[in-house]
Amino acid sequence: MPDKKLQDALKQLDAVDLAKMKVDDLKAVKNPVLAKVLRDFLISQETASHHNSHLVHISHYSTMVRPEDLVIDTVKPR
Amino acid sequence: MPGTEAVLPFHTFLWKIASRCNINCSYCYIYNSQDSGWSKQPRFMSEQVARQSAKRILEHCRRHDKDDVCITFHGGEPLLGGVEHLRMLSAVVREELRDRGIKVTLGMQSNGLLFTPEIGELMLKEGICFGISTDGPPAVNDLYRVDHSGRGTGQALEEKIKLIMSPRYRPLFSGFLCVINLETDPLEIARYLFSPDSPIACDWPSVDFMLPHNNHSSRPIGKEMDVSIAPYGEWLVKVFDYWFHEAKRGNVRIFNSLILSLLGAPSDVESVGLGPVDLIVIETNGEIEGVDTLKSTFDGAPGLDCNVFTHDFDAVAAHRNVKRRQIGLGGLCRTCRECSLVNVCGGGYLPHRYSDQNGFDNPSVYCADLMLLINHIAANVVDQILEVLPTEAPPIAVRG
Repeated sequence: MPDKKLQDALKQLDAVDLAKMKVDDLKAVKNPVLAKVLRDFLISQETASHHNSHLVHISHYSTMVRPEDLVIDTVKPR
Repeated sequence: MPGTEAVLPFHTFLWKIASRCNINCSYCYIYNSQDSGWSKQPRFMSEQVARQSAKRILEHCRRHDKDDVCITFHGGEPLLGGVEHLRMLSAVVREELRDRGIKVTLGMQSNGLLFTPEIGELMLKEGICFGISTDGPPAVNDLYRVDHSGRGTGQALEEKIKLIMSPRYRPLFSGFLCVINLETDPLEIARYLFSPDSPIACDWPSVDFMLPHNNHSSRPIGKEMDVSIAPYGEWLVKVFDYWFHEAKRGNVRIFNSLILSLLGAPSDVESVGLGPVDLIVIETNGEIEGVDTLKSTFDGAPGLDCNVFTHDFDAVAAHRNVKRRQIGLGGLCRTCRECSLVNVCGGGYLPHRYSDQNGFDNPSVYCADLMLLINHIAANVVDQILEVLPTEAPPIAVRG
């Protein structure tokens, strides 16, 4: 089982409401790789809703598929 | 097999287009593991098998009102058949699927050594992207990734990667797949993959790190005596810190997926999280298998006794061994079901749970490693996320 500190962190993260997350919220995320992870997720959710399907599932083998193929827009590399 | 039962349609179809490989990695789960099925397969997927596979996919899409799928060319080494084999397969995908309104994301996983400009031009024309397997700088890569004479392949690979990273072929490249090796320095690997000063540097690297395909009956190096220690977790933590705090560039799929899983989002990889698996494998002779990494557990493990000539994909999706991978929590052992991390790790990757004694009814042999890594990632992202993202409830002051 995870330790107490992790369980507390999990509870806090669990309270984050991703459904209310907006691209603008991400401007305040200081770490660029974390911001990219969240932004890609947000955009892939949008894509999934356009496709009326579940989140695009790229499986164990998905290094073969570029993230750009799974989202409708991407953050430009630094 | 039931045909009326509701099934989750497949999205990713892994085509084994070659059943042999030009190199002989000592850790390979296909050629140097428990399953010998590859030796009975035709060397290459024929046009007849490819066309029948594509027709089955179209039938599956129509039945489930799907208009997009992912097809991945895999092997063995998918480039072993040369440019004409790849041209034939691409034409089949175009004629049977793309021309009939199905959006196909076409990918490939390759060791990269047989890549040529001629193949690159075909891939550009047909819209095929590929991932390249590398374990790190040439000297590291050569520890396990050797040819059939035991010679290292790292230097030749580095030259191929430089060609692939050229402006002409960079659009083809989707990422590196790197198997974790405890004998190596994780920082050396991370710098090679992420640093802008690396000889294989690109604008925004995409990488995944793969835990070796071991299990409780064939334990990983470094965990032979005690699975409760976490050397792979420690290795990954060092890579995470370099990626997150120093390089600050690139995607790392396992880290991305764990961050999102911590936030309650579905994982986009089958090796973590509780999401249903929607990937299926087609062998060179048309046999359909669950997931090929199960070859690392016991001989015949991936078999479903289905074939594209005799079974449609709905029948395959209703197979109990496929369903088992789609029922989330219900498919896990009691220890995992009772663990508060289960929504994040999902019990780990199925082949890693295996033991001769209990089958797949175990936590992952990497449970301790995953827990260490998840703990570390959570501690690093929690403050930044809570600072900016909307929460359902006020944060509780717990961190010390």
